[in-house]
Amino acid sequence: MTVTVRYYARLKEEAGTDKESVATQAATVAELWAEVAGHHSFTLGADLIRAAQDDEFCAWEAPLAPGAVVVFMPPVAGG
Amino acid sequence: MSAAFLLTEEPLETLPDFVVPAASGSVVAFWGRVRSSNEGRAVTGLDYSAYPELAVKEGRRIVESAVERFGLDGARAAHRVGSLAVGDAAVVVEVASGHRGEGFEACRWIIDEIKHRVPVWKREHYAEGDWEWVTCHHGSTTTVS
Repeated sequence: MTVTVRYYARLKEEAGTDKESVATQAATVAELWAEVAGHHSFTLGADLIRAAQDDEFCAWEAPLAPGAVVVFMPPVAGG
Repeated sequence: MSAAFLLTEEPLETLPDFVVPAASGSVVAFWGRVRSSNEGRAVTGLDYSAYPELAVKEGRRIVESAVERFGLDGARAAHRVGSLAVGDAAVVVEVASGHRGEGFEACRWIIDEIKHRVPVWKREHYAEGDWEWVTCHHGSTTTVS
């Protein structure tokens, strides 16, 4: 299936893009992260990343559906 | 009772006035500004970026929880995005309440929650010309270039 992945801040810099279409066999958000993290050689570990689907925070175990939009976020730093 | 959270590219001083109900004897405001130095380094500015859809949702949840939790008459918070210079306001929190005690407490709680939960990021630029991503809730920075 194909999903859309969006990146912010440091992940966007390291990926060299803020959005990409990914053909994947991943069943969960965690598996998708493992794929893209390997592909882009992200320097942050999964323990520092939060994920969102449909503009809402989601669990790493959340299932992926075809056409899903998944966002990976590095540690936040507002204020 | 009002609870609002905004993200804006405009200076925070240009926001419409925070409307304070007649019953409120206290208004507490916190302004977070870009400092001229961080961890011993001279700072020239900050770039803020956000995941706007989720930042606004999460920010509103924080302000709404504060109104309920501290029994406020109203609260509002706003965060800047874009490039800010030293001295620019990056975040403002305003809280209206019957008395000052819950007002100070709520204002502190809201800014702490914003820093930990709202998907906003900052890149700090230094006088030497380099920059770093700041991860303030861990109290550390990591060099990128």
